[in-house]
Amino acid sequence: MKISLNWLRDFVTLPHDVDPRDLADRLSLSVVEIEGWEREADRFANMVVGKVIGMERHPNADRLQVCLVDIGSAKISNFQFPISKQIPNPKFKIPYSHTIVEIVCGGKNVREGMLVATALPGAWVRWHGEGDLVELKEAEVRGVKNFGMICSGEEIGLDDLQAAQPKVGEGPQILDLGFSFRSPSTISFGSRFSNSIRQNPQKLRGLIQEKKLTPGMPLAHVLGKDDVIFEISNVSLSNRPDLWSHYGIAREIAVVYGRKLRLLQNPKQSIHSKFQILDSKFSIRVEDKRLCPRYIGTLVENVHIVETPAWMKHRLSAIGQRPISPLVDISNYVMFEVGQPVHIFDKSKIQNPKSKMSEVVVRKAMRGERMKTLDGMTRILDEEILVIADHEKPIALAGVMGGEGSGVSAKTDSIIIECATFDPVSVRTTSARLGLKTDASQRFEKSLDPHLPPKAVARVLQLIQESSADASGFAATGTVDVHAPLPAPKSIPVSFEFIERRIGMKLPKGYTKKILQGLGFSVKETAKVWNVTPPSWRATRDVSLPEDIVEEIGRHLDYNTILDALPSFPIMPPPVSAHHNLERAMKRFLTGAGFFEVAHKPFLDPATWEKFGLEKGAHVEVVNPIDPHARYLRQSLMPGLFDDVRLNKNQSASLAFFEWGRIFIPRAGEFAVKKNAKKRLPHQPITLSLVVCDAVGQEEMLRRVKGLAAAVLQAAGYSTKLTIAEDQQHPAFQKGTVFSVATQGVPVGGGAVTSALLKADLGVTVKHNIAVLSIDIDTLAGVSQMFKKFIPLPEFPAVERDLAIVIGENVTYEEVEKTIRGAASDLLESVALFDIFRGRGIPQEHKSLAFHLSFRSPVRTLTSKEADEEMQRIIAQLQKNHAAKVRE
Amino acid sequence: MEDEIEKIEKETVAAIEAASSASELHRVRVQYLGRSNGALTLVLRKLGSVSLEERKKIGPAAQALKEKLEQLCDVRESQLLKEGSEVIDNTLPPLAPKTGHLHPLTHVRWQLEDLFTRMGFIIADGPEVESEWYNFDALNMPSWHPARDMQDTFYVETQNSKLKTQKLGAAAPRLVLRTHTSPVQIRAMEKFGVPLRCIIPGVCYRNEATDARHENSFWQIEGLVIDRDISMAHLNATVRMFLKELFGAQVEARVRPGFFPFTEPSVEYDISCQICGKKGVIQNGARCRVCKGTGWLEFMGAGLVHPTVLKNGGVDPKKYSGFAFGFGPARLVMMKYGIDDNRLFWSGDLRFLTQCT
Repeated sequence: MKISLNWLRDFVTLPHDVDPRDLADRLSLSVVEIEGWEREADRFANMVVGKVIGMERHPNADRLQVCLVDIGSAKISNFQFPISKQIPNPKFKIPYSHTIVEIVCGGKNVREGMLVATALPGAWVRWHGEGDLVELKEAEVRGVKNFGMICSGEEIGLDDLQAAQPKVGEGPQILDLGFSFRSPSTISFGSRFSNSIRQNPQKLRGLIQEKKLTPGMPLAHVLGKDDVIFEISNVSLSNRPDLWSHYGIAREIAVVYGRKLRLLQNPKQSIHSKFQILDSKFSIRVEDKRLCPRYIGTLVENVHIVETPAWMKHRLSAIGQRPISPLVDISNYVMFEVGQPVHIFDKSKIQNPKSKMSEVVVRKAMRGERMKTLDGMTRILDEEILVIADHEKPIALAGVMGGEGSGVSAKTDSIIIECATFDPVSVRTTSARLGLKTDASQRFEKSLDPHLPPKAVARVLQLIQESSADASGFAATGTVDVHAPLPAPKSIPVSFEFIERRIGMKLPKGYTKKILQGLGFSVKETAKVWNVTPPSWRATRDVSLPEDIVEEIGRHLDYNTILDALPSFPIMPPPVSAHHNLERAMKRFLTGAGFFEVAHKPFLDPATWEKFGLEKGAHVEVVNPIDPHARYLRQSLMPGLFDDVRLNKNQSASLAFFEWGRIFIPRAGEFAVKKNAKKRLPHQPITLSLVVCDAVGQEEMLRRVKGLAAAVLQAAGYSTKLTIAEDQQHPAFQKGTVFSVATQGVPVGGGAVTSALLKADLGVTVKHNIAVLSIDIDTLAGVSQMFKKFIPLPEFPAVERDLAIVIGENVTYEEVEKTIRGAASDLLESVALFDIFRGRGIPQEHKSLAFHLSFRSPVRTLTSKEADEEMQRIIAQLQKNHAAKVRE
Repeated sequence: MEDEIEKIEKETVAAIEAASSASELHRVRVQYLGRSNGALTLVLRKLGSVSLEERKKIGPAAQALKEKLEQLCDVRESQLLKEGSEVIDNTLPPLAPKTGHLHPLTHVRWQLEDLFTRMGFIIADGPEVESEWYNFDALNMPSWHPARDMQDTFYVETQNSKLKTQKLGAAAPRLVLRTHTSPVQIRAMEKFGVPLRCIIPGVCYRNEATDARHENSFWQIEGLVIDRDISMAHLNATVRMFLKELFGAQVEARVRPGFFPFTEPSVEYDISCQICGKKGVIQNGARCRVCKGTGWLEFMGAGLVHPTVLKNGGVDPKKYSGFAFGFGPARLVMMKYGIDDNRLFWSGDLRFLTQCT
């Protein structure tokens, strides 16, 4: 929401030279978040009044003139205008101190002696009124140096002034400032003149004629562009129905700066008395008083406003609203001023032709009813939507948007002004259902004050009267105010001591009270408590608890002034979760082992993975996804990791990634939907998965990933048992490589080498192989870690022997080790495979395995002879069981 | 006998050092360590004649000495053979050991977890697919509350719940991807009771289009303290202390009003803009783009826990009060490294991951 400083000044007196940054800071610190601010004048920086004092035809372009422009004593920092060789028309007397610049101009209406809007280097203009703003620089136009621009209204955001000016000939036009000032209805003068003068055209005209435009005057100053516009974050207004207007913000500023707030005019006295009350020509019926607690309809006849007053247009434009037509502008103006949305119907368009009465009915729409809204869209309605209807059809969506058929136009003669209060939830539902968010709906859904509509009506009538050229011609025929008993705000008992305790320090009692009173709260002090009653504009929903009162005081005291006090706690170390420890241990190990941690969003498209037997079956599914394909939540971390291999395969010859995150399984998990509820949320365990990709064979890759499984679990304090799964076909994995991981007898995960099919899909070379491993951390966290016991160091030396054998490919390592251990006595301490070899010197279908064997006795030093005897038994058994040949 | 061994050791070491050619060294080796007549071998042979006790003592020592002298010979030999021939190019690039890295967000999260555990906070966690009760209702955001619009929500269903939704229409209880870590406030109150100090790191989701500044998945870290008479002063002090730990003393913080349905009062903390040094303008006088000229950057939301939230967590708001705060650690990482695109955090691109160490 944009807020104008000059508009605020209507309600609160601020120092003339108030620093916008200071105001922005103070508002941010006590009221709402200011996202930014802009001086209106900044848009006219480096633009001055210039006077054309000489013209010559451009040597190389028929349609262009080279103009000599007197820019008075205007200066541009870091820029020196060269002295012109062209001679000014001698009829102009130019003071010696004035700067004269050459500007190429294509305007058909440019004349000697004309006062023009001159943009100098550094100004930001919109070329020919189109595209983005560009910074003006010294340039050459068809061989002639050019030091600025004589602007058209469209080029510097003064479209109105340009439109008011008659065209001269065919072709581009420039802005004639002299004309603009001779017809002051087109121009607004910011805050320079008081409200009363600004709204009195005669008086204003007199003042302007006295004013002389002279070359060099800054354009912003001349045009009265002295406003500052603040951009307020709408999100920070979510809970404040009262702040969606200049008046609401002014009320807070009055408290922040300790100023008096000017009250809105009292409707009954100043407005209604001016209007004749005629016979009622319309009726209002509210069918659902809960959804529409108040509806005020005011009939005004003979409304004739030729044009929206310039000052009003100016203010609306300043806050980013495009002026549309007088009545629409007035209703918008009142909404941005007091925060109450106003809608105006053309009475003739909603009149019952039989009775000549206009009936306004507030009711629920009927299913299937249609209405064309002001934005030109046809909306199909149902019973959940509250509408304003005439005797037969809906004419507006209550609190959201008016209908196209019932709106005002240039021909409108009689109007019905609607100022109502609607149920916030109903407005919000309608707005959400139809995807239609408007300035009105945004305000209604915050729960507006039911006491606000009469004030808004009064202001609308006042503005209509002031804007009409002849105020005697029209009259308000009557006002109908339909409302249920309006609830009186409830008082909230709160002790001063409670406020101090929640803030956390001693407070000045008098000032605290003054803050509340300044914001419109009434404070009744009793011996024990304060009975604080919020004003009607805060009582709709926003303020109801003692804590809410604490907030009002805290923010206006400025939270930054609260003295720090650290809470005191008992000395007691916090419990640490198993997950936390596992995460640290396992991630530390993996990063040390060369793995990169990655993170992926959980959304995926199972179709991509189904052909690999991954992400099959039911998924937890997003109902309202951004990408309709990726609307399923992952069941495994593997797809993400495979994508990483695909993405990075050209970055490095070997890749190693892991991810730690939740996966989502569509069956009941451990978290309940509510405390003690039976219904459970989907199972969503934390999982660790890793992927490795390297230029090694499948056997080696399998050994690596198994080694990783054991090592990562050991790092977390667990022993591991790996079991090769029964041979089954899985399209993603190489047959015979799928293994499961268990610790203390509990299965916690598994791994495999990927299939050639998947490898090819990921685009890695034939030489490379990929392996994956997944561990269910939730399950692992439930297993107690192994207790490690120290084994005393051996007292006696070991005897080492190496053994290399050649065996058939069909013999597994597991069988060989079993044979070795079976043949040896207790003296065999360890068996370590250190080489596998196939190829030169080894027969086809055979492999060579090489072992380090270590023999040791716990009670004495072994002799070589004893070890040799062990070796002989082992070799004999290997020969017998596996037809092994010993390699020398 | 020990003296004898010691003498041999000295002589041998000197002889090895003195050897000036490979053949000379070979002679030294035979003379002292030779298998048949080497000086040390001869001494060791005499071991059989001494007492068992002495043998146990001298045996291993002599064996160790023999190995040591052999090694010295080997080293000297390689020196003699290669002396002057090995050229070292000491300008070759260093070979780094192959290591991986934590995700930059994990790095910062751990740093924050450590900071808070040092202050006695529990680390709490909860589900990412959450019920509407925990994500909204329990946090003082009933279905009609406009604040639900502040957070665009992903709704999810499973096959079972899908059937139910079809049958019951809009009234069916729905599941959501949590929009913030705040539901864990309620879960933590239920699990640990009061007094309570915890932080809640976790991934959250918002249904919005993704670009450089917006992400539909993001990390949040939330803090919660509940005890008797917890006040705004406690919140201020805790937050300032932790910001100082995080950014150092040169970064300033300010607090201003905010709005969250689950806190009352609600505030927001800003930190001073490091680009313009809180001035709002940069060197050439232009408005600072990073802070939009305000001099401050939004950093986190906070407040005193709303009494309704305490009640919903099973805590008596008449006896207890608390404060809570929450922020996005990605912001910290982006500021620290000057990263300008949110999406990189979820990309898995090595060119990104290798940089944030």
